[in-house]
Amino acid sequence: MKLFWKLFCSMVLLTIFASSIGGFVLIDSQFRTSLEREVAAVYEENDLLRFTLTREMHIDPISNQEELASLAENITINTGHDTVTFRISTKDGRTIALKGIIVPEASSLTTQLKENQRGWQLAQTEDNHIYLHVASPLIFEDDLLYLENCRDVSSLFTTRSEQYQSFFYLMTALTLAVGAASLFITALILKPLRQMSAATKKMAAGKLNVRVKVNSRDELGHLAANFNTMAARLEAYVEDLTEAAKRQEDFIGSFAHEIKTPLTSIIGYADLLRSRPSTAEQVFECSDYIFREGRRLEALSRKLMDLIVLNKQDFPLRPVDMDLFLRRVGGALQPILSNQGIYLRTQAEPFILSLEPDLMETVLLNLIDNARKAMDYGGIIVLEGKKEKDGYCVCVNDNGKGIPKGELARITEAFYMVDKSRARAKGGAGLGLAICQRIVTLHGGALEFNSVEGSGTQAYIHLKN
Amino acid sequence: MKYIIRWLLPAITVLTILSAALLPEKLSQFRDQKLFHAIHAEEISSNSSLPIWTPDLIQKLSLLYLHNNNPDGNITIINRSLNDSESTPEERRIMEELLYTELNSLVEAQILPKDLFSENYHLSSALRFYVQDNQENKGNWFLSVELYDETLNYWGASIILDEETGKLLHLSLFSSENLPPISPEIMGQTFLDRLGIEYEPFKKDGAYTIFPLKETNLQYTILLEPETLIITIYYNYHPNTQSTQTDRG
Repeated sequence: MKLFWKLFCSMVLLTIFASSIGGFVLIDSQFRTSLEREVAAVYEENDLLRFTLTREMHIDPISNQEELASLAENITINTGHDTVTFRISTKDGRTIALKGIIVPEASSLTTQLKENQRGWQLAQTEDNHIYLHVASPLIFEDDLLYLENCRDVSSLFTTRSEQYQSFFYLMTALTLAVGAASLFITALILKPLRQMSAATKKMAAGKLNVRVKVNSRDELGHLAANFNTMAARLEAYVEDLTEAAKRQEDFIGSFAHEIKTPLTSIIGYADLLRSRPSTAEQVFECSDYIFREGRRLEALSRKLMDLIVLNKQDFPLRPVDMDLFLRRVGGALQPILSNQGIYLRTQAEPFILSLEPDLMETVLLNLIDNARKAMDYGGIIVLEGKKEKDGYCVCVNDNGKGIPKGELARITEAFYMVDKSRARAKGGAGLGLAICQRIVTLHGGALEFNSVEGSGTQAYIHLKN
Repeated sequence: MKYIIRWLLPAITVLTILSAALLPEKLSQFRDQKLFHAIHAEEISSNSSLPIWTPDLIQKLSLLYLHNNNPDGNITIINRSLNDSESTPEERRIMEELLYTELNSLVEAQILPKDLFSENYHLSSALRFYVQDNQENKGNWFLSVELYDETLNYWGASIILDEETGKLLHLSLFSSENLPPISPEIMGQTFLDRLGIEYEPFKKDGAYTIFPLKETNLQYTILLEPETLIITIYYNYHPNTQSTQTDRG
């Protein structure tokens, strides 16, 4: 059932029920009160009659019913609106004296009263007039007589009937008014609800930035405000989830990218052991590289997970001898570089620097690998470490094909590749420098690039002490 | 079941509307059955007898004013005719005795001139009437007498007496002969002193001499002209009006 009908029926039910009870109580109680007043007035007239007759009988005593009748007929009582009609009768209803016209029969009342009782009754005639008929006892010469008077109270009943008719019209008008009010109130209440419903549909369709207007401070206003709060939180959660999903995607991409180089190195050294006879020292060196790279790979996957997926910002830093560190890193890529005819020269000033060695090795391997990819066959890569005023600078210098000036600013963006086809041919995904930038930033350092197209590129890692 | 629940509220609403429109009057008519088919009896108590209490003279004058000037107001008037065919000789004797005793007394007090009511005046009608103020529940019996002047062939005097004290409270007289020149101021003062009423200094309003009664809004008005004498009670509608005379003659 529509809200309008529920509201309408409820309002009509309550209003009509209350009005009906109120109307009945008002009209009926007013009628009963008016009737009581009429009864009191008729009793007063009866008392006046009794008083007058008693006084007259005292002034000039009478001895028989004929004289009583004569006396009664010479008495006239005028009230504000009418002349009082009265009758003196016996208990069995025989009329002794009559002044005016009394419609109800005497015996209908007098036969029901005890000796010391007075009483009243309502009598309805054939022409639908209603009379208030009163009788009280009058002792005369040891006889019990009754003094009666009556009044036409038809107007009381007519008035009541007219009031009920007016009440009926009022109820009809009230019902219509309540109906109109229900319509208006429903429209008022439903308007913001409809707006919220429309906003909800849009949100379900993907538009999470939808909000509703808050036009009031009542419950509906609070609902609208709460809806907006929920929408804002939902939008934030979805953004967070989207970002988390992206980070996971980045991690997978980065991880796939980063394991290529160590694997290449491992494969290179393994191939060396497999393909040509080696001295024990060579075997040890190759095995050592394989072992180191394998362990680095293991640690790297965990750290990349922390860095990218969990967005971890604090990694424990260890003091590292930069000279030994650089030489080791350079040695890891030696087989690959040799295959490509590239000469790697490593020179580093001794310095102890606090860094996360596995992550920093990733940076250096990425930079050296990028330098390698910039050359087709042959070339020189210089891996250099120099002290700086407030830290240490590692430089990877190559004489490859360089990077166009206009693209230098974007090379650290994720998935950005200067030459896409060439990079993909060489197994690139555009993630390496993005990861390098994050790792250097984590160390509180800065990554800087200089390049001259056709001459070569210099990558500087400035690290703070 | 769902169908019943769905239509329950509208059905109740329609029933309520119909009941609300028709039931109140039916309920009243149902209650009326107890009124129509029953005798409502009660024991007679002493409180149902009249009168409640007897008025003083000022209250009697107030009732007389209401009777003369506002017979349709909130008062009840009981009339008891004392004419020949409607009363006993004894009643008439009592009434005449009361009347002539008072008239003689007024003559002796020099309020009325001697021989004012000559043989030409006959009692044409007499009435005992009771006036009750329904609001105050006070009432009093008065005697109203009309005298017929044979020379005028017209009623010559209308007199109202307090039945309890027999005192004259109202007089309207038309005489065929010139009335003796009595000062209306002196007549009024003597009249009111005789009744024992306190009054303010009189004032003149044309031919009328007005005596406001103290601590009431009533006033006695006297009109004395060669052939007319009226002594009657009126209501003072302007109690703050300045008197034209400041001493009591």
